[in-house]
Amino acid sequence: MNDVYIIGAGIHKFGRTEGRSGRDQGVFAMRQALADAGVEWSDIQAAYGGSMAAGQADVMVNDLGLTGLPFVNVFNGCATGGSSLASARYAIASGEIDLAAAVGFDKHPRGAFAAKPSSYGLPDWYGQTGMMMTTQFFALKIQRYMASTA
Amino acid sequence: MTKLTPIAEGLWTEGDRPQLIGGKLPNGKIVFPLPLGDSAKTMTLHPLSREGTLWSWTRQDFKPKPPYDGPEEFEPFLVGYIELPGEVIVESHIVDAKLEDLNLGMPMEFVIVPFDDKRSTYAFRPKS
Repeated sequence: MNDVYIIGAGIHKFGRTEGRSGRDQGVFAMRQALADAGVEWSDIQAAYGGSMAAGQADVMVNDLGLTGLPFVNVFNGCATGGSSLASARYAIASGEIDLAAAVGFDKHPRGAFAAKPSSYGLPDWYGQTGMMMTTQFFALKIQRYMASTA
Repeated sequence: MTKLTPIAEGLWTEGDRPQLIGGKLPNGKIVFPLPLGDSAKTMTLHPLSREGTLWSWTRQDFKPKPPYDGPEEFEPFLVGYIELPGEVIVESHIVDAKLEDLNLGMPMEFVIVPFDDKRSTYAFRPKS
């Protein structure tokens, strides 16, 4: 396996950004990462990216350039950015390509998610009774961690 | 008081000492909720223990968006994971307790509780 290095990074300020879509924030971060690395979009041989609720990542080629690169959409919940980065790393480590880009972005309405249980292989009552809550899941995990390590 | 209808059919057994209905997979693993679709065809029903220990807990302080279907007038509620020894960890409402009463590993028991004025659901409470 080849060694893999991160040579540039970019980020859009976190917050409620009226007038800029989630994907546009991703494009913003991507341009910053390219500038940071000192490379052009046309140098990128493959890209991986996605969001939960702010649209298809591959459409970024409209903004960044139709270079013909393979752009794989990743859809993996809160782990979408990390999974995109891992995928880019695998592609480079395999020796197939030398330079890849990864991007994760999102934009949500206020409040917690309104997840549909059937999308997760769960019965309806699980959502009806108020247990299908991402915030609860994280609270329960951290509560367990604090109570068992403190 | 009129009889409450369970929030879903086949979620717990009937009778004086109801039990949640879990599934036993061909490899012996016990699961809850029951698997849907083809995976359901190879499992057998397995009523779960009425007693377990508290694995984790938290309080839902704001009204969830739909598909939450609770009473119009929202009251914060406790939820947690209950470890049923040798079986499975289940997620559940917790009743008859305050957040500060709850501790890791405390004994919990199964109970059926009102969900709204028409329906019942399951919960666990600290074992008395």
